[in-house]
Amino acid sequence: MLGASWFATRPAVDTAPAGCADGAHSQVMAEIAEGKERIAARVEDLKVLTGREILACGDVLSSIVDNVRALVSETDRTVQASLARSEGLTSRFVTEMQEDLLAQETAVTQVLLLADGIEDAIDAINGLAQSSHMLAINASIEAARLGSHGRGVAVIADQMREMSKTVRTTADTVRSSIGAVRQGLPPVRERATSMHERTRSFIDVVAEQVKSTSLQTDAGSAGSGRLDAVIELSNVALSHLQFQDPLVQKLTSMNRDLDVLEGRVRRVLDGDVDLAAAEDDRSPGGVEPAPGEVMLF
Amino acid sequence: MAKTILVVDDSDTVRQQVSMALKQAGFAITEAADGQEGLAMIDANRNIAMVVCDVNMPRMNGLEMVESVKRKAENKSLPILMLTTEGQPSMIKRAKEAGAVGWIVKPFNATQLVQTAKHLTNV
Repeated sequence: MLGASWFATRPAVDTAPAGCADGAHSQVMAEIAEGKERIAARVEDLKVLTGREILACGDVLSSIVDNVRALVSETDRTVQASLARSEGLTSRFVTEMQEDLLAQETAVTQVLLLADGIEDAIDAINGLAQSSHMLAINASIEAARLGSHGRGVAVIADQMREMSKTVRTTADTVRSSIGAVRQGLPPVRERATSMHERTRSFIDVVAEQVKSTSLQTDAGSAGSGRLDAVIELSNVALSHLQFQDPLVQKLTSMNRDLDVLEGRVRRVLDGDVDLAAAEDDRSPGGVEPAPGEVMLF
Repeated sequence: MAKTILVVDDSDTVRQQVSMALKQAGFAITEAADGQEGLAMIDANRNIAMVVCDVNMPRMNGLEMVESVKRKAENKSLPILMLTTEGQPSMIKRAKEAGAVGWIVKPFNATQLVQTAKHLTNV
């Protein structure tokens, strides 16, 4: 940039002493050359400075995308691990619940079998009590027939009758208790079955939910969608960061324009006033593709 | 396995930007700072699936590099995409005749560049 200050610090050409035209011309040309060198140096400085900043921005941008990618990946791994753990817990819960229910069912069945056995025993005891009762009656009859000699037998017969009565009463009490147990157990079994079914359906719902969540996570829609959005934003930022090349090119073309200007000044100083005839060394025109446009052959 | 793209540009910033856009799309990247280095890398690495190449570079410019690369029969199918600030039709014509597959004038659109790279490498 050939700034006004640069010109201001130098004496104007028409202030050169008369008769020193060649010297003045040389000075002007030297100053122009010097100015061009300064511009070239500044362009280079600018290129280095912007290059450094752009590279730094690129690194930051790249780190952001890498971090988001790592975050998405980490989240995905965590969710997968959590789902796997959840599936494991659900599966273990189901197994334990089924084992508990089976144990409960077995216990109920065993209690009922035990009740059957106890009732059989009560029948046997009742049979014994009946036999003892009959024996006591027969002993009483025999004691009566023996008279005073049968007094001892009569005492034993009374005790046997009393014992038979006690045994029968006790057996009736046990039978009644067993009956109550028999009546109480089916509702317990029904409740257990009902609880089993409710638990099963609850587990099915949970499993379905876990599976659905797992599928959604597999698709990675949320995480990868965010990552795509970040990459898209990063691409936009990249587009904005590409100002250096076009900028340097324009500054360089300014320098080329200065070359042309220098040539024209030289011709004027050499007395050639036909500037219109000066060659235009720019490339022939034509339709150029727009920046960013992809032109495939 | 990720396909490898060679980015040839004398500008650090452009190499970084092109590489970043393509890496994010899953490509592996290798870089060269001028045509001569690019040519050597193509000779040394037969796994390069595509080249993104600048035009104005020291030692050997991009057009000369394309001409040298395409002179070799084994490189006939290697897609070379020119990415440059230049837009002169004469240069574009020369690149096309040399065997380049396309031309992009900087600044490039990263999304379009990625799409083009995917298209050219059959990803």
